[in-house]
Amino acid sequence: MSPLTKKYITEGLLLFLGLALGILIFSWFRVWIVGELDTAQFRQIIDLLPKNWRKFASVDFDWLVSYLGRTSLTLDEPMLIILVSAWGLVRGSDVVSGELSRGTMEMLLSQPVSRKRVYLQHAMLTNLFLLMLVLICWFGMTLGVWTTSVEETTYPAIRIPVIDYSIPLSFLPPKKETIQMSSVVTGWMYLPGVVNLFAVGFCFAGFAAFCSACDRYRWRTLGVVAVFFFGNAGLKILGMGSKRLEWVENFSLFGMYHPASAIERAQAQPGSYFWIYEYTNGGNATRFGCMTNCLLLVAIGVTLYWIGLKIFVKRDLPAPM
Amino acid sequence: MSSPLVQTDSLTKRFGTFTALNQCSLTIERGEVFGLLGPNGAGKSTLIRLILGFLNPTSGSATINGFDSINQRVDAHREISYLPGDARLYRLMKARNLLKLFCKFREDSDFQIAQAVAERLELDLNRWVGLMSTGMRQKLALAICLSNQASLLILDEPTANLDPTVRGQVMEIIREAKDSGRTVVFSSHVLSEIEDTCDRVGILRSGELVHLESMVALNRQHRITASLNGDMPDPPDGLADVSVKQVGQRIQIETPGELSAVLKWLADAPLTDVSVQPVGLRSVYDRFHHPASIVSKTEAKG
Repeated sequence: MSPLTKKYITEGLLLFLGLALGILIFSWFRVWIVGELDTAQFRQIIDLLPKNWRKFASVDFDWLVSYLGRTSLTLDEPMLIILVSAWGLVRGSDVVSGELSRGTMEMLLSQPVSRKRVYLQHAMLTNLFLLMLVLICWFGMTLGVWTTSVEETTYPAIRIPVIDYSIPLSFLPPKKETIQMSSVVTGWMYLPGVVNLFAVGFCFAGFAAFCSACDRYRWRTLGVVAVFFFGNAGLKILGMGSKRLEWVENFSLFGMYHPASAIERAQAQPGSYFWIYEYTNGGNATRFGCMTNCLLLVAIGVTLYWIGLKIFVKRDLPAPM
Repeated sequence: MSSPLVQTDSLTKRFGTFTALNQCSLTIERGEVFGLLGPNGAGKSTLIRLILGFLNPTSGSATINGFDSINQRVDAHREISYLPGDARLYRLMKARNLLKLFCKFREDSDFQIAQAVAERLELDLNRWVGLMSTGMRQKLALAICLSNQASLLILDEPTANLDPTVRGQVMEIIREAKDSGRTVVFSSHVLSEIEDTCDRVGILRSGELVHLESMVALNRQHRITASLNGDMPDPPDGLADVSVKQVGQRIQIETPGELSAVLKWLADAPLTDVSVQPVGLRSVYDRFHHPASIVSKTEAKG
């Protein structure tokens, strides 16, 4: 293991372990909680919600009633997004201004180590660990699916053998039965949403590294990236909340973050995940496709990392305060 | 004759309108111990940071063993081992692990050497860096700095946070580095440290390298003070560079070179209460940094 790798792992290990534990527990329990509520009961609750609340959901409400729909919303939970993004924001902001603030940069760079290597190795490890956090989230959700059994309310049905069709007899008393959630949902179904989560985390890590490369004070870098993160979240909420301000969402990085929607599309029509645009039934393009969103987020992240690298390689390194 | 190890050519650094270093041209030969003197803000650390490539020069260039400090930074750093004035190290590591870590950065580093230096400085390597005092951290950084075979040691006020005993050890280590053929660039506020260890000294004032002095030449310089009881004979032809100042009956003679010819000249002079002192670095430093010299420079500029 190279000394830089060892150093960066040592520095980030505690934060990583804390976040990993939080993400694992949160994603697992979030799925488990879904299993506590019968789908039929959930549909009744959904039906009671005001119609205009539907615009806050990134997916179709009918799909949302399904176990896959409800568990997929785990990836839309602010808590999870904050936990995953926190890694990229905290570690990304440390690469230059963190070392400068602590005064450790000059001892490091007086060694025969290039600035490029310092920056890129940090970026590589930050995103490797980001990937691990996202995989832990995926694992937590899958674990939730495996360990959760759900009560389903069903009605006796008549099965017509030739056409293999069942007709529920709703006039008879309903029957409750317990099934494993894994019989209706599999972990693989979450993959499109998990990829989207990684892409948004990568983009924020790139922004944080770029800010760090320009700055000399870690506290200021953290302040800027926190404002940027919550500003983006605010724009997204604003865009979702008002039809008139829908365009605002296009200025938010979260405008490219639709994990539940990506899962829904991929489940309904796997090929649509790779479309550049999403289309209405009439054939009109509505917004970027799931993969396009992910690629755009990664491209923005890479660009920010690259600009940050250029700045760091050229800039003056001030003496420690 | 081999090329100089460090060469700066009209090196200038400006921060906005403030000139931190102006047109500094300097060569440091291999095996030399070069001292940088000057008060705070004179430009010592700026010069060192420019040589290390931490700062981009506004104009001019610096090379270390022929490698440009900016464009060939990594190659240049293979030639350098640097000790900052206030070493900040990774607080979440134990001293031993930190030494091992830094030894891995360089091919020419040896952990055994680093450990030996740490033991010599009575440093506890089992301690967390975050729990170390400033002086202990400085010792640890010195152990890192001396663990490799770099041809150039750059020490920026290395004894600033150390107690007198360790200061002595550090001076001893610098002398050993010189004996082993390494080149040392050493900045300090303590004139005696520079005087005891350096071969040559550069004095900086307000970002300008105002004086270069060889310690051998400095050691030959003497100041003779005496009371004059009659007329002073003119100096012979070979002593044209001797300076003579007379205030009333007191006379002060400064000689930049060999003392024996001056003593022959003074033997016939009507002098009493004669005292002979080496000029010393303090006097040279005061020529540029005595309040009076600064005032006269300011007035001249005005």
